[in-house]
Amino acid sequence: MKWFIPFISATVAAFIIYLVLSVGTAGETNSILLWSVPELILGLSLSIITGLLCRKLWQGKRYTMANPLRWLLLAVYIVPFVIELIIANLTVAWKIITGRNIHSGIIKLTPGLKTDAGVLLLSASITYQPGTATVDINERTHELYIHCLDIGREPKEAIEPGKIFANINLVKWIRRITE
Amino acid sequence: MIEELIVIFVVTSIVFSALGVAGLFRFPDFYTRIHAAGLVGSFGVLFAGLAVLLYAYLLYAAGEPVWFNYGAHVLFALAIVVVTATTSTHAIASSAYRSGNTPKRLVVDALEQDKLKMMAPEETRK
Repeated sequence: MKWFIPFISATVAAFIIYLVLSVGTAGETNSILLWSVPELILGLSLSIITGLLCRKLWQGKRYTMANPLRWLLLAVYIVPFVIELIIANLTVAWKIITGRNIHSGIIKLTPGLKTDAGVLLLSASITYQPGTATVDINERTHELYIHCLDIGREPKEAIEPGKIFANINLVKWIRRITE
Repeated sequence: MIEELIVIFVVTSIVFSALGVAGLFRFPDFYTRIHAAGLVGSFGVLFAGLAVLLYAYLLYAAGEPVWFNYGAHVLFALAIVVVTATTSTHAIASSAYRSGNTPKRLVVDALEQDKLKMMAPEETRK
């Protein structure tokens, strides 16, 4: 039974991706909702094969993200993330146009997140914003090493978790989502 | 109204992509160029996707049945681009630092003193 939950989750994920890719294949007859029946059968069998192949890749121990409420919060998280994304894009675009105020450096961030999912979400958020990119992660202490385009003139090695984003404290959001 | 909005989104996407390419040539070293390329991956792609989504809405309003294909595929492509752009940026930056390409003009490098600890093999890191 140890392989059962990874098998089920991999199968469901593969089947959802197949459904999205093959949407709109419904014909006049022999179809359920938006998909034709042969397409559904083929997709289901392919995703079962995928699940069987991928069941041993799972190394997780926690199931905190299995709660659907957390996924709802993750969808709400897009709003502050996009606001930060707009600010970061305009800042970097202005720096490209003027060519000034580039004081790049690699700084250390200790977010204090406990779960792997939280660190993954935080480092992905940081990397997707232009102007900051995660260079390395210490997997034991969950410290991030971040390359910033502009960290100011005075050298400082570490940064507080709230200061890495421009206006909104996304670390607090991520802690609320994953812990 | 919506057609003009589509044109505005496409133009915004082109402008940010062009700025990203310009940044590739203007910025001094490897790591700062990553941020310029990130501009293409975020606003360049997102606004192009938004334009196609609005076009799908136009098709929906006109009663065409293919609107769902456009919408679902673009949403899926946006999600895939967000995930893969993030992963590849991190992979490139991490492998560049580990292969000895240190940044040129640097105010501070916090990773340098922890480098020995970080570069160690997986077993000793745990």
